[in-house]
Amino acid sequence: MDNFRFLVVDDSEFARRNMKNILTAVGGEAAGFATNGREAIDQYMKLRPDVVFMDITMPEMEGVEAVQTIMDRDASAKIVMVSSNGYQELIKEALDSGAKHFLTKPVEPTQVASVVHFVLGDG
Amino acid sequence: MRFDYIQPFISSAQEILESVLSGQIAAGRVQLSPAPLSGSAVTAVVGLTGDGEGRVLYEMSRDTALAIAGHMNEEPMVELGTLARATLSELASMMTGRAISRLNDKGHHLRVSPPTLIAGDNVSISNVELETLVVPLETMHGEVIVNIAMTTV
Repeated sequence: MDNFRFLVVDDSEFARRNMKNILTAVGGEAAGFATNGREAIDQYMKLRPDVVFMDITMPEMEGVEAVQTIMDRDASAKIVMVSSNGYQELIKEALDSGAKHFLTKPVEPTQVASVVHFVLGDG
Repeated sequence: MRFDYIQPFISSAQEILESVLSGQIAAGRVQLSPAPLSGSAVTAVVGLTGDGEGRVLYEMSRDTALAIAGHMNEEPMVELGTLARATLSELASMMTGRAISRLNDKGHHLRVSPPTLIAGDNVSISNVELETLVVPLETMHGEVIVNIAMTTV
């Protein structure tokens, strides 16, 4: 699982930093960061990371809409939704949009490592 | 305000604080609050919409806010700068998000607004129109007071 490149999308500086620390500790390398869905689409197309960790509730464009747009442009994109809200209807909406997995905050490092294995196909 | 609406906010706040602070959190007695509320030094406010409308406030002293933000970032914090504020806002978002998830999985339809963090010693937050329940949560860094003001529609 070493050397995978990740993009973290979250409007919270704390959440971006926390996720970066976890992903770096499990062998990832930060490709970039974005603070809303619109930036996420631009950053994804420019950087082509191996995996994206995307918040849902963000200003300008929410995460689910950004996932749909990215998946329309690159059906092989591997996106994990991360949210403080984890109710079934929202999880279904996120997975239907094309996300590969859903994590509820606060995220645990072991849980993030398992999800990276899963979405990158080596777990 | 129905108790089945309120209990998820108390248990979720308690669980999230226990998770991010890695310690036991004791919940005090639930009390009805007189309005308007006097704001503590630091208050995170999260709005609720949907089939319940209102807001949840998480109040704490400046020292408690700095200690919690420092704990969550694994570094000491001496001022309420951008990272400390972002951390406390995220904490409020996680506590409220877990509560509304529990309620929504039972058939409710609630949405939360992004948190607003208010810092200042002379701030007063008025909740005149809503019945407010107050629950103190005792952390190893001091008290976090949860105010839940909600009406069902």
